Amino acid sequence: MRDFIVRAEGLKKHYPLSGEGGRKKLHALDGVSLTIQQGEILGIVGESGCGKSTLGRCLLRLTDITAGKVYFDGADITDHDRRALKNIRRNMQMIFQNPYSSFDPKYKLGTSLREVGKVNDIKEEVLEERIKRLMEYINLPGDMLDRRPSELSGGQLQRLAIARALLLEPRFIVADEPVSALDVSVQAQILNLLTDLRKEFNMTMLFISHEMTVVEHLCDRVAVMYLGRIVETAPTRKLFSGLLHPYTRALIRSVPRSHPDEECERIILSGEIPSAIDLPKGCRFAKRCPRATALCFESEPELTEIEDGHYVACFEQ
Amino acid sequence: MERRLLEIRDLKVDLMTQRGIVYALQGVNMDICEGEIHGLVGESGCGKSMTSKAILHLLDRRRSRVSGSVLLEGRELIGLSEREMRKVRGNLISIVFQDPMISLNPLMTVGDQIAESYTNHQGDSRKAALAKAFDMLELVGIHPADRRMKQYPFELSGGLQQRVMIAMAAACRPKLLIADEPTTSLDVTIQAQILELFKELRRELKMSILMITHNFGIVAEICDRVSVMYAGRVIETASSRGIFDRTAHPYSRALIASIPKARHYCEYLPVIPGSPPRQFEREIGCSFRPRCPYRDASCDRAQALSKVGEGHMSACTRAFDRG
Repeated sequence: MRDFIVRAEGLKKHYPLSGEGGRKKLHALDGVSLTIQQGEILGIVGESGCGKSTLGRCLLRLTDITAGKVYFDGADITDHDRRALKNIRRNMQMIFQNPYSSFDPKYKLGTSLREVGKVNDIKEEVLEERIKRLMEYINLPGDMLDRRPSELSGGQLQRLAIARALLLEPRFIVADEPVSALDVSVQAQILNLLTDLRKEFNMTMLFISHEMTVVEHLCDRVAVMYLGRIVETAPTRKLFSGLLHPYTRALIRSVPRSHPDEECERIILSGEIPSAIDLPKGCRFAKRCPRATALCFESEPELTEIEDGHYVACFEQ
Repeated sequence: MERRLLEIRDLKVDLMTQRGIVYALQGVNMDICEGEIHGLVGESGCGKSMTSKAILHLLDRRRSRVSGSVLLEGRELIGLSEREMRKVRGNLISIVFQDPMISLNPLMTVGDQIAESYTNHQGDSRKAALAKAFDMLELVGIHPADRRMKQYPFELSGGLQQRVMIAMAAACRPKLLIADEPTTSLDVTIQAQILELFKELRRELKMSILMITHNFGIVAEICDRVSVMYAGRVIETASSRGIFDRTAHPYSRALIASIPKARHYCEYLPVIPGSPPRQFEREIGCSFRPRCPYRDASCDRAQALSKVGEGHMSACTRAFDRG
């Protein structure tokens, strides 16, 4: 099992809700198991509220876990306290969606970057050397470090956010919608940068996105989440050509076509994304599923391997 | 050629900012035909939303200067008084913004907000207005309408809120509905529903829709024609097939190429070098020339839209000529 940088087993994160005597809970994550290998980019897709971001936060232990286990580099970090976490955190970093809110607006960017090194006791010469090298990588002039966030464009700032995440040479990065706020031409630059960086640093990454084409472009493997659970996971090409779970199918077929003449058998899901508070009995997707049978409303299908590396949670398979 | 509903000619907007004048629109030319869904695409800051605001007179008069011509069925809108514009807004042209949560009034029920369109614009009584609001909710697919009428915006999901916004905008059956990134804050599954709704409304109410978006997928999905903007100008207009099959302008080409495509695997995406101009100066020549692989000396001169095919205009034909 040494190959796995990150492993989660039966991960649950429930948020108690105020009111109703505290008996109701929001099931943000409800039993997620996954592994991420060294050098792999795992994409997580799903609609808002499916638990994508909570999953990222749990893997980094930015939040406490209700049940299940998280392993990082072979060690169980589920119950690590703050001090123990500090030591492993330098090996795990995060990139957020909005770069303007992930930098202190009053700090010069150089200060924000150097702070990371200081907190983690990195020697100044080493730190400066790394910053210099990273600035070359992200293709920004060094004098950008003397500016403040408001003076940069979203794309430039997101590149700096990536540089900051790489400053400690982490072994694992969670990128939560890192290109969603950017224009397509800037998005292309950032995606190319990530491709470069993964080659250079053999980076391992959890890439959270709601944009299917972006995930398809960048990721090695994709996990589709629905209401706190993984419903399908497979190597990217297999997932996009196989499309076994009815939810994956609907999700992919909701993406606007890339040409007016493209044949596209649209599947429009009726209804809204159900709430993670009152979970339905049986398969969580049954209510919106065009193929649901009586069985689907009775019991919940398990994630089962149907082909090498391809797992689906659906009775039809 | 179908009848033109809206003709925009040489529309210019100068904005007075603390850092000086920004030449936000530098001569926009665009036609919207009756009953068509016309896409307006481009990247942040290119002037898509500015165009819609200028059409509707939503810019602060003290901080902006608008010139040029906007004809709605032959009638000039630029220069109309606020009083006259009020009769245009809502009745003839209306708008749906990106984020329904900030556009809706949190203290009013959904029914009252839609009814307000009728009492304000058509002088209906409250009772008559509420009855029409009910019909409108049904039309935009909000069920059960009677219960939803009494709900407040926060009780609805993002998708339903956007349907309410669309109901309000379409309430008085305007000739033109401007939709400014109406699905950008929604999930793809909900986006697909909302796009269907726009198609349905166009069919039912026979209106034209100006669909402002940064997403070429939406153009392919529902637009009949499309105009591409760059640095405050429309640089290409084509049918939505034409824009993909016979892309003429180098910027349109580069932009479409930089989008990751489904089932199409490549290691690196083509990128456009540099970044868009900041528009502190009026540009005479082509604004894209510093980033353009096809540039030559003649790009310093003004580049008017010229015909490159049936219903297809481009401000540049260099990429076309060279294949």
